[in-house]
Amino acid sequence: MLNPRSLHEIEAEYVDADIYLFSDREPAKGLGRDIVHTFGRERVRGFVSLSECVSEAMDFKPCLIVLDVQAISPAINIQLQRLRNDRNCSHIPVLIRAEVMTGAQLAKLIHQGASAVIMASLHNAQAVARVRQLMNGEADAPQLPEKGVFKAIRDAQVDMCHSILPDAERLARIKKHYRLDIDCLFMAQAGAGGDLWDVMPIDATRLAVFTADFCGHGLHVAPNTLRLSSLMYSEGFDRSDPSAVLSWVNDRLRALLPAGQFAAMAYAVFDVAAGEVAFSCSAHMPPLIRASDALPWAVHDCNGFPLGFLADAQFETVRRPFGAGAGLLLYSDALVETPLPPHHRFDSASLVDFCNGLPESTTMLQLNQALKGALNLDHISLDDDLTILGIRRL
Amino acid sequence: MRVDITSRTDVFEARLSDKMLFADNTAFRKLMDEVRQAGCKTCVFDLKNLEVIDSAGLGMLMIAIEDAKRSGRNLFVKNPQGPVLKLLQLSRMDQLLKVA
Repeated sequence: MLNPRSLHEIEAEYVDADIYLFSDREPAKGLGRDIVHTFGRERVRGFVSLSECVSEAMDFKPCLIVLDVQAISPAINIQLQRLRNDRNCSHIPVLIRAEVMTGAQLAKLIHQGASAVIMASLHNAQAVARVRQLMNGEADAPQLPEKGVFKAIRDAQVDMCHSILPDAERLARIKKHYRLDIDCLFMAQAGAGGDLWDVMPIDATRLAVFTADFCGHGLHVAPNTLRLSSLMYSEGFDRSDPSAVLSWVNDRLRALLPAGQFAAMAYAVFDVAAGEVAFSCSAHMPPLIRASDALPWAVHDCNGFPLGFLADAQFETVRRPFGAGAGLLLYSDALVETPLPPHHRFDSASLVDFCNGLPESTTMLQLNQALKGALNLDHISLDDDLTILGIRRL
Repeated sequence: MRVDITSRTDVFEARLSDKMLFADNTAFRKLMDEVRQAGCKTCVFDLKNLEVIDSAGLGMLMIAIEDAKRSGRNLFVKNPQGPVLKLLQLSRMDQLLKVA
C-alpha cells in the first residue's frame, strides 16, 4: 500500500495533479515512488481507494490514470467501464499494471478501453517510460490497443488450452490413490498447440490416461484439443475399453474436423487391482513398455488409423501385465523428430536404449528430465509440440 | 518438398522428394490441382526420395485419398522408405494408399 500520510499530503496540496495513481501494492514494489520521482510530487495524486480515484478523475479530468495492482479484480473492470461510459472521460488514458493477469483478463481490459496494460515483468523504469509516453501523447493510440488485442486473444487461447490439462493438485491426488508415478513433459511450440493429455479415473481401481496429437501445430490447431477434451468428458460412454473409446472418438471427430486434419491418440487403462494395462493407439508413436523394473523397456508397435478420417474405423486393444515397477511411456512424434530427421536425436530403437541406460529406480520425472536434456530443449526450439507421458507402477 | 511430375499421359506420376511438412501445404495443393487437370484414371506418387513426412504431410495424403475416392481415380504410392514407410504403417495408411 502507498504510505497514507504521504498520500494525504499529496492530496491536500495537489488537487489538480496530472496523474492519478491508485495502488494496492507495497511502496517498495509499486510504481508510486518512481512516478513521483520522475514527474514531481506536484503532478501526482495518490489514492488508496479505486472508486475514489475514478470518481475524482471524472470530476477533475487528469491527463492520465495509473492503476498499479497485484491482481485484476472485478472492481477494476467496473470502474474502467464507469469511466468509459462517461462521454467526458472516455479520452482519459488509463494505464494498468498488474502483478498477476490472465490472457482473458487482459483481453477484457483492452476491450473495455484500457490504454495500456503492462505486466509486472516490465520493471519500474520501463513502466515509467510507458507513463511518460502516455503523458506526452506519444502512444500510438490506433496501434497499441490492436496489438494488445491480438496478444490478449493469443494469451486467452493459451490459457484455455492449459486449463484443460490436469492441474498439479488433481494429479497428485490421482497418483496417491492409484499408487502410480505419473509425469508429463508437455511443451507447446506456441504456448499451446495440437497436443493434449489427461488422466481420468474410471473407478477405485482403474485409471484411464491418454495423449493426443492433432496434425499441425501452433495455436491454429489448438481449438481441436478443446474439442477433444469436451468429447472425453462427455457422459454416457464406456471409458474402460481402449479400442471402443478410440472408435467412439473417431466417429465424433470425423464430423468435426475438416479434410486433411486428424488426431493421433494413445489411450490406456490401468487396472491396479488386476495388475494390468490395456491400451490402444491410432496413428500414434509406438509406446514403450516394461513389465517390471527388473525388465528392460521395449517398443510395442500398435498401429491404428488416424482419428477423424475413416468411418467406423476399428482399433485393437493390447493387454499387458502391469505389476510393481512396470512402466508405460507415451510420446508424440516431436520426440523422434527433434531436430527434424535426418538430424533427429532419437528413433524408436535409440529411445529404448536410452531408457534402458537409466538406473532402474529412475522416476518418471527424472526420465522426462533426462529426455529433455538429451534433446537439448533448453537451447533449441521445437518444430512441433511435444508430449512425453510416463506412468510407472509403484 | 520437391515435386517432379514425370508423366501425365495415361498415368499421372509425380516424384516427391526431400521433406513433406506443414510448410509444403501450398505445394501439395498445387500438385493436386495438376492431378485433377490431367484427368488420368491412375495417380502414382513415388516416395523413394522422400526422407521425412510429418503429421501434416500425412494429412495431405489423406486429402489425396479422399479426392481420388470422389473422382473415381486410383491412387498408389510407391517406394516409401525408412521413417516415411514407418509412419504409413503406424497410421495404417499403407492399407488405404495401395503401396506399390
